[in-house]
Amino acid sequence: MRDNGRVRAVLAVLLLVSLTLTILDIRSGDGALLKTVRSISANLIAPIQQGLFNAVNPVRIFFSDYSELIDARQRARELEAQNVELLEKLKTSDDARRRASELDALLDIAGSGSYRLVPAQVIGIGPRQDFSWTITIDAGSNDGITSNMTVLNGEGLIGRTSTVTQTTATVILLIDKSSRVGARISGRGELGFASGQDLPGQIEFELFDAIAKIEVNDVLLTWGSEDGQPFAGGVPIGRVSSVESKPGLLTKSAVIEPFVDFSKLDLVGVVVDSPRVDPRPIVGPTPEAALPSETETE
Amino acid sequence: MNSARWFAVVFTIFFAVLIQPIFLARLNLPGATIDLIVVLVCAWAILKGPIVGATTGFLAGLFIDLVPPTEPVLGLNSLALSVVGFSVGMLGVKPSKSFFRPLLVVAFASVVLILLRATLISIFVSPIAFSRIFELLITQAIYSSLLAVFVIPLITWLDRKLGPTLRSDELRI
Repeated sequence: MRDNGRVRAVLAVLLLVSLTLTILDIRSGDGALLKTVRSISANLIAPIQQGLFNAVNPVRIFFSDYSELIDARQRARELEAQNVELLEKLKTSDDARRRASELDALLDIAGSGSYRLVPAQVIGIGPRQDFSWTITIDAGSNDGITSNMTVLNGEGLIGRTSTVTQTTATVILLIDKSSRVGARISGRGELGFASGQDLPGQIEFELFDAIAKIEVNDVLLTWGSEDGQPFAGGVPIGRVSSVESKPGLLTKSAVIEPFVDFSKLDLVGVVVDSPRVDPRPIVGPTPEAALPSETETE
Repeated sequence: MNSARWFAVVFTIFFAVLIQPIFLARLNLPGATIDLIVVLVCAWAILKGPIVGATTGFLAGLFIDLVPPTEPVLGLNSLALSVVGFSVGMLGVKPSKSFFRPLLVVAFASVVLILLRATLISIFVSPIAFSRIFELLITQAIYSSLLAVFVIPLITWLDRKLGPTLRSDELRI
């Protein structure tokens, strides 16, 4: 009987400690003791994690290469077809060249508002059964990164940094339920909030104006926060895949398909210096510019 | 439990928590991420009983909460995993007697863990959309039982290397 008591007591103590930690963490809010503990432990673990990543990554790449080999043949055939098509286009390129020079001029303007980025590699991904979407990148405070900085890649917005150690940083992805980004529709300028839904290919966009015009394939850009933190302005988020309008509601919402493929994140950039001049929505990427590969294969 | 065995428990759990986001989460398999941690907790609980199971689960939960990139509320993973470790230890399955029963237990326990975690997060953090959870449960059960095929014999081997088992290690209510 004494043994039974011991087993129960151990469980009871463990559960009580867990609950105490939980309540302390929830109650303490920002900048409190537990946040410091977490930051210290993250700093201690970062070098181990990075070393392990370097050791293990070749194995992972081998595995993913192997699974992609099956797709590769199909992809080669597609590219060949695309190549023929492109060669055709090249012959009728005078007009295209004129348009390209115009685009160059536009790009110059966009370039004046370009972001200063710190490139980083994704080294860790949070498990999906955690019901939160986070990644670790291999750049930290040594590279000038602080929390609440915009993270993006060539396709568009990825998220913002949260916990930062000397050599790594945790990024809360755009699709996480806690993510909420001020956004506007490119070209129309309608404002609203884009928020994560815990789904990899879907974000909800809520417009402030219930009678604002919004159409499928409209592009969504960030409108930018003060000093560019947590979100720099003019970063493409995604495009509208469907519009929902509920009569009687004060707001209108749309489903947004993000440009970024969140299951294939690898190289990302962290915006350490926001543009001095906000790139106007009109020179931001159009659907064609933002998704060149997709529109060409379609 | 001698100190060498506790060291082995802590080491295996710590290794699993580190390798999970770096390697297993990046394999991009459909559905849930392969959860080496819960399989390890179950393996130790099956071999060593509820006290070790609950303690291992608690430690694993703490490690998970403190290792980036997960940023949940501290303590929730410990709570869920100690309950799972304790319950698995109480079942008293013997891997020496049956090959499939431990696998079944691990699969079931890992599914329960997801539900438990989802409930706790819903209560303490923010409500979760349970609509897509089914896919997670099915894939988690499959991955966990497949992983257990390798993990249970490995931990059994490790456990034997670390000296004879005391009767008091396997206390059950």
